[in-house]
Amino acid sequence: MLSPPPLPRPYRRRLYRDMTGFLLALILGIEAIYLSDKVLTDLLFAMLDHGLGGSFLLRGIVLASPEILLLGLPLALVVTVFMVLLQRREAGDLLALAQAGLSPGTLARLGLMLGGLGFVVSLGIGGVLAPLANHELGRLRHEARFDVLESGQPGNRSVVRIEGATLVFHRRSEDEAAARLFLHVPDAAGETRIITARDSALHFESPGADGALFLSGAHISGFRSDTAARLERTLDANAAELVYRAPGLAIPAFAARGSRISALTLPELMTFPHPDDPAARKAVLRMVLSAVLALVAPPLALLAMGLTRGGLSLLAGPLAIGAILAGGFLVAPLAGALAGMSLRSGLFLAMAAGTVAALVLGAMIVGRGDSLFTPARFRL
Amino acid sequence: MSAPLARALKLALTGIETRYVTALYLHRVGLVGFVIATTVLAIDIAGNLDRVLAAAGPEAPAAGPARIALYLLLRLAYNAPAILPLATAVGIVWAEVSLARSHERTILANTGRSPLVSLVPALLVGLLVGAAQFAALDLLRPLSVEAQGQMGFRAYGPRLSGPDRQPRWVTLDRAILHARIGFADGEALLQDVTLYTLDSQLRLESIQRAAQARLADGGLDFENPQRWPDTGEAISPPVDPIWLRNIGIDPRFVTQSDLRHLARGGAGIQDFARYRAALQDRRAAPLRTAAMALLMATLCLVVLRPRGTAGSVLMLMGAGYGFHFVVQTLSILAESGVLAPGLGVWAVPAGVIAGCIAFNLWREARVARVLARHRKANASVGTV
Repeated sequence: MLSPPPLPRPYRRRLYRDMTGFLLALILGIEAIYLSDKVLTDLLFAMLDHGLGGSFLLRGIVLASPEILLLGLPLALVVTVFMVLLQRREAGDLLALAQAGLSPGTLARLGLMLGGLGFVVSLGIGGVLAPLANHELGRLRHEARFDVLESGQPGNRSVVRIEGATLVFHRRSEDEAAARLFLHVPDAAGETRIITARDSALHFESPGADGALFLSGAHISGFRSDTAARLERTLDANAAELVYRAPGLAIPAFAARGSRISALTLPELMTFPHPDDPAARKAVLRMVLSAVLALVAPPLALLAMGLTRGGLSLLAGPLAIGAILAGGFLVAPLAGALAGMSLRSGLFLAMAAGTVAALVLGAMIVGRGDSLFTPARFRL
Repeated sequence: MSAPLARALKLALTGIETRYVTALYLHRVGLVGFVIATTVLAIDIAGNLDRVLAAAGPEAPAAGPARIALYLLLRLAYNAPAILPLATAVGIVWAEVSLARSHERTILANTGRSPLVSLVPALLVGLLVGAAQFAALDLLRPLSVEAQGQMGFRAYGPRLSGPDRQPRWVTLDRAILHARIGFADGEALLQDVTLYTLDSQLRLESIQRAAQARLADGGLDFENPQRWPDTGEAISPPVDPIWLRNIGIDPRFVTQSDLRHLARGGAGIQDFARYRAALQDRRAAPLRTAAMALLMATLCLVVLRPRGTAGSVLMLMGAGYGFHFVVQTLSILAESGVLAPGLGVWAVPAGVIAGCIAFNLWREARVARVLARHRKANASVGTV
């Protein structure tokens, strides 16, 4: 069987360069919109709530960036292929190349090749980068919640609870810079210890051990409710400097990566015992179905480009983008449905459906014939 | 005011171009607003249908189409303040693309019309939509939040969404309160309540504990309290009833009358700086939308050409979104007390409006200089 002639090498190089530039600009735009929304609705509030600085915000932005790419990459691919090749067609490039032997099969092959590349990149991002970044973002947020214990400088959120103890940071007035500490520690015997302090800082002598709360200007009181329902003071002491140790005075450990499905990479999820867990199967299938979306995006864009004529001239592109968006929303429910069967069967079905869809789109591109090359006087 | 200036002002405000372009802007802003609102509501109901149908608030109508319709109406009122500026930006760009493509902008520019006069429709539409946004922030959103809370669609603090399940810690003036807060017949009822008062050095001064406490005489009235030290005297720091009834509700969602009261500060009102910033944020809404409209119109006049590309429209949208992002970020910083409200809420919109006017004055002066040079050159050619 004769294979379609390839695009001339110099033209192909320029085409790939234009596509790469367009794709990067689009991904940058998608990231900008997603991350700015993430900053305004989540990260900025977390920074202000916990009294943190710009480095928290920057690290949060970097770690949040891979998660949108699961949908962003197929979306950027479909827009890039559609726009760049439509521009080439309208400029008459493709018509000229058709005279030199360019066939619809060449374009179909280009679409499938770009789809294959998209599949691999999407799998790399969704299967490795996104879970690792997701885990690190979780850890960053977890540490942020308890940062006030070590710094003693709260943000908008002034109450921290650890192991039954409650720490309330408060000021005499809104103008006062330093926050005072109010520590409430109930014990199993029904006694309550209340400690107030001018300054506080939590220190750890060894990782994983209980911490020591270094207090300045501390006042300690102990109370017990007696049988007559009266409050009786059992302890009253002042200390200029105090090191307070209590069991459980430790920042709770962030869940290990291995214990959270959303933090596991694709190779980890594929190894025993995870395939027996429906949640792990769903996570694997989500990664693969997102990659399948990237596989079908370029041939779909090429088909849409071939359809930009007559009644569909303004609709073909938006319809292709809408189809990818709809596919993105369907990934999670589809993965849930496929997770009911064994991992091998689910993967086979997802991959087979993606491959068949890409090949059918390739055949439909070939079927568009001259409409892929002839300009439609479409204003871009 | 001199007669030519009055005539120029009248023309700028009521002339044919102003009326035509204003009507076009409003038409496009309305259409875009409708599309955005429909999209937002469709996504909202798709993600929350189960929650809406399962809502068990005391005021919720029977589960069915009527409840869904009411939910969508409430969410529309809630989202309107966010949709309106976005619709203004997109609507103006859309209208300007049409004007540029049909060469109307070229014709208008060639008549020698001042670019400043061409900005009047954007200013009028910005102020009009801004006023609508102010009304939505001031009236519609707080009403929507109240109704959503009472119907159980969303959780908005103990007054609207039922009493606390777990006790909460609240810092008061030199006191710390630990209680489950709820409301019965509109009256605050604190349960399992403990009050720790602190001396001037913020050391523990007294404790008062009771099964229940209610608001009374600007403070809290404990039922059969346990006290330490047991002096027999009631202890209560000042508690503002309006502050307490809005506890747990974001300042942005508080009704305007309550917000005005809380923004004044005073005894028993905590975090009044947040309320003050939220009030300023509402008041700045018309200015913010006018700034967005002027910015987009100015950029359109500079960037768009009759055979413009999608790239220039994307650039304009990026500029509008960038403005929105900066304004929102500064507003959040102001509400958190990091920035003064004047800087966080007013400075950027006022700066953008001043910048747009200055830029167009500069453009007008530059065109006038070029025309004067041409006239001079033509006159000298004529003499020869």
